Amino acid sequence: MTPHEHQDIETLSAYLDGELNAAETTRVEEHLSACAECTDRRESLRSAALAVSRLESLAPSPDESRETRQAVLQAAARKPSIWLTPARLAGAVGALVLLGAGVLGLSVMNDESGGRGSPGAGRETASDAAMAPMTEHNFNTPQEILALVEADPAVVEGASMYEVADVGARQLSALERTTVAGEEAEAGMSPQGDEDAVTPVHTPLWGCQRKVLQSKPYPTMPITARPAVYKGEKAWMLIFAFSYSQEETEALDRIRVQLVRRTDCHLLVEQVFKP
Amino acid sequence: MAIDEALRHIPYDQMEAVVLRDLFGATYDEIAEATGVVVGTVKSRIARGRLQLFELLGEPTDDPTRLIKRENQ
Repeated sequence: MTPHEHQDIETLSAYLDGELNAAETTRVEEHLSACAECTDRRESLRSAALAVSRLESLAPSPDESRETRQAVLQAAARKPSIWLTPARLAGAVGALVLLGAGVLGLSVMNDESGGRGSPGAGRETASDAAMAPMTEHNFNTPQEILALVEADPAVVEGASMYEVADVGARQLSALERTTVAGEEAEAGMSPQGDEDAVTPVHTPLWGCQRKVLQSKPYPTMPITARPAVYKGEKAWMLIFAFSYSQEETEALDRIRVQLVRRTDCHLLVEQVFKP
Repeated sequence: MAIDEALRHIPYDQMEAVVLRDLFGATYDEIAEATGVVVGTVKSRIARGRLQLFELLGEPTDDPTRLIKRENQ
């Protein structure tokens, strides 16, 4: 490639990162000085990189940054590698904070920690009674979760079985719609659809933290939910295979909703096995 | 579309590489080692990921809450 040829995006991107050797860097710079088109593309790439770097809420603090990065890379280099991803469903946040298992200090929950009240619960059932069912479950299908919930109706306080059984994946969108409906009312607009029939229950998912761990290799086991302690907080650990499938993603969301609702445990730690 | 939303719309491998690079400042070599692919693949994933993010950032949001907020402004 000569200085007169347009630079491909891989080269421009690597140039931004200082990942080219001296000769390549010189060649790219010579070209950029004379080519508005490639300069525009470089700026596009740069603005995207900048936007990601400004995910302040997810980035480690400057003090933690170096340590975190080392831990991430060390952990990722091990087999299985483990990634940590806080994500908020409400804000559709999907970016990553990455930590290794050693950093997590994740352990299977024991009886002593089982009696701790959940933050913001404010109900008796949110502590001992609700946390008691936090034993390990294997979920192959949403139906199995429903069976679990049906076996312990107390967990659906405030919600009818219809809501639990039928809302499923719609639960999230219904909650979302509720939020939107409130704003629509202020704006003098009318909410659409018949979802008013579904009275949204407490919306723990909006306030919950979700941590995602990623591992290799691809597992053959079903989705597993396991009680755990994450940094002193009670948590559900969800173990499953990563999937692009809409159906499986929705099934997972159902599981998340059920787990969080039925226990008032507002922290999901997820271990994702990457194919 | 906001960046957090856009990150959910690009392939996972690309998001992983871009976030490791731009949020955590990892080098291509480090990312390659951590994710078990060659440096060329990392280079490609980051470039394609950034390009897609840039395009998505210019698109309207698909988050209805944000949409309403925008309409109200």
